[in-house]
Amino acid sequence: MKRRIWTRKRKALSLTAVTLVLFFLFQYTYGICLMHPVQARWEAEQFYGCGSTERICHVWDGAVGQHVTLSSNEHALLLIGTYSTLSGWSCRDRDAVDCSEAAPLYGGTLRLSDGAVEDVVYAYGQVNDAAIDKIQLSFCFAANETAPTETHIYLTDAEDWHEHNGQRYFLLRSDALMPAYAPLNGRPYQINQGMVWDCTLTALNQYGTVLAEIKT
Amino acid sequence: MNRTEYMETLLAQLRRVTPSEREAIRQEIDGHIEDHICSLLELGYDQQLAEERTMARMGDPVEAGRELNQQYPVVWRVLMWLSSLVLACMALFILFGAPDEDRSLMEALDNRAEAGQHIFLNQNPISTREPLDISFTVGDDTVRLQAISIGSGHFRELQENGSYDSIYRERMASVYADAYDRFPCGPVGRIELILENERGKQGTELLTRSRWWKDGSVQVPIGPEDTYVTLICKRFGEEFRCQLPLPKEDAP
Repeated sequence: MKRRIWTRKRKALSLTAVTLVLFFLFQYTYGICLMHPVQARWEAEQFYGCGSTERICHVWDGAVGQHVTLSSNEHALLLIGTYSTLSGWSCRDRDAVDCSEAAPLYGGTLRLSDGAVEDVVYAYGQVNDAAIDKIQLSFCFAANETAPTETHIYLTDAEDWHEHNGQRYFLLRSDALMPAYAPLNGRPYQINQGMVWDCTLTALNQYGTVLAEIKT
Repeated sequence: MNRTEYMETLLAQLRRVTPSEREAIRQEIDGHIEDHICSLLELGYDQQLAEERTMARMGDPVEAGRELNQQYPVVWRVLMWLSSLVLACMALFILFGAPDEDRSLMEALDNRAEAGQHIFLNQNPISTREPLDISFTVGDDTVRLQAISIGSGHFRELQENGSYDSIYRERMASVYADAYDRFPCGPVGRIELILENERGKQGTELLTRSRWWKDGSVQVPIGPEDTYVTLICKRFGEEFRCQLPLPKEDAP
């Protein structure tokens, strides 16, 4: 029988193929060393078990150093913030909404953090009622226990929304930068430094009438 | 130029080869020379003449060496080094990087294979308990209902002022379940179980533990006349619902 000669090219290609297979298995098993932001999205999909989603829109938020991606499928809406680290892409802040029933509005809020100094609140959702023309995001915020409560209100119009497969989606960023949320030890249910509460998404028609409301 | 000099000159041109590749080339060329010399010896040449003719026929050793060198581009060696580095990093991470995660993974594989080994029902005391053998899938994940029990314990209830309070209940049904992914090392998604009594009161529990295996027990208060509870699992358009008969309690 003729002996197969392992040339340098053949050895290198075989070793690379084996390494790639093992590397993907490693990524899948541990969820780390993700080489592309899309893999971080797959991780979030696995985390919620919402199945594969398609990207609706994507923005870079320099204030918190994260790529913010809104994606969806038939039954789920997913908002994730991805950022790159030495050990690959990671997704720390994420949120998903089940939109499998026929509600006029689905939505959620996500607080994105740079992990140290500043946070930003994002609102996202799917609008199923054609009469809905505006979405209002409101939330309360106090920088610390003694600081006065600030109420923030933001509005997004239908012309700023995204259309995908015949559905309308919105992604709204609050301009308020707030100190990073730091729960105090032993007091998780009290008003802590930088806590956001009473997050509400309100759907309005062109005359300002409330058509739907979601507390997130 | 004799055979040894020829070989040394040729091998001196090979700058990109590893010692093992150099040795393989030496053996290959040596084999060719040997074959050629043997053929000439068979034709009646003497040893010295046969070697001289063979060396002349082999061509310029410098040129031959350069051409051979080009057959070993450095890119493949770099690729091999990189692959080896990645393999070594992965091995180091698995061996030393995340001992807790490794333990969780082994535990998950173990628990996945052995149903009913680590049933934890958050009740004290338990008056009766029955094993269950019900499985269902939600997306990529399999949920196993492993046991149902009746006992007493604390139940987190929504109060009129909107807050939740933990209230002690004498009689509660509890269902223990675990979940794992379709693939042995795959991550389990978020699974929330709802247990509903006959009057529609619900208790919920989010299964937790590790990336690869989750478990938990969901509870709901029951009345003395209740005969069943309903387990519900909803996730992104999928819904599983089944009625579970309550286990019979021994007469006091």
